[in-house]
Amino acid sequence: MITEEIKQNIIKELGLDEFPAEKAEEIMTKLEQNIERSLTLEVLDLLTVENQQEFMKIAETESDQEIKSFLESKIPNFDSLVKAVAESVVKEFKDLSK
Amino acid sequence: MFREGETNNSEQEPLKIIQELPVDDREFHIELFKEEKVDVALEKQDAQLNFRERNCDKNTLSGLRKWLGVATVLGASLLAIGCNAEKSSSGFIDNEHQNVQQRLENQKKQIEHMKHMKNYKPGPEARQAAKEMQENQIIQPINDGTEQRPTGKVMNDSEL
Repeated sequence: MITEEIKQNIIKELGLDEFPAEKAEEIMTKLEQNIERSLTLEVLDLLTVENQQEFMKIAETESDQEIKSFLESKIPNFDSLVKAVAESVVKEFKDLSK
Repeated sequence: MFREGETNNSEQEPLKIIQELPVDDREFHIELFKEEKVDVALEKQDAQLNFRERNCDKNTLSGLRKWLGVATVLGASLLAIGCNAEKSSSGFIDNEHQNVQQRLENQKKQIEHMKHMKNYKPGPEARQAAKEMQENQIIQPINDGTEQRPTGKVMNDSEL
């Protein structure tokens, strides 16, 4: 869940505030999707096939908190991984758009 | 064909064309150029991700992504990379992107190593070496009823 305040911070950080609001919003949405996709790939890469199957079962029945607990048990420092991936995608975007 | 000194208008350098435009149009062209750079950057990221996604199981990928997309954890992470982004703790801040990639790689290697060590079973040579070390009293075995493994404890003179 990305709040409006967070979005505005990132828009400012990336210099997207120079663009028309509509365009900045469009870029932000795509960037958000790229972060989610990249994070998914990293998480998938770190889970064994058995863990992936277990995750699918849990995801169908359990709550968000239980899913998060499962991922945290399988991937040490899960939160820092998420942060590193998000930083990586944003910085890659900054470098590519220079 | 053109004689020497003549130029084809359609082949003029883009900058020259922009300079000849009225001010308002010129600003429009510069702005468009910035937007194009951003669009190209997003397209490149998109292509890289498409390439990686092709090699994954589609069901697991969409299940995981669906959950990660709504997870509040992502919001918290994005907040952290806002205006007050933390500097790399490694001390190397010349290329932040490279630092982040490096940290990500290190973390992946650490997890791989942990997985490997979890399934580690000492081979005959390692067992023999451990036995010899125990016999030579270089190290002391654990006496907790489990399989004996080297502890790395150095014996004192009084214990020898």
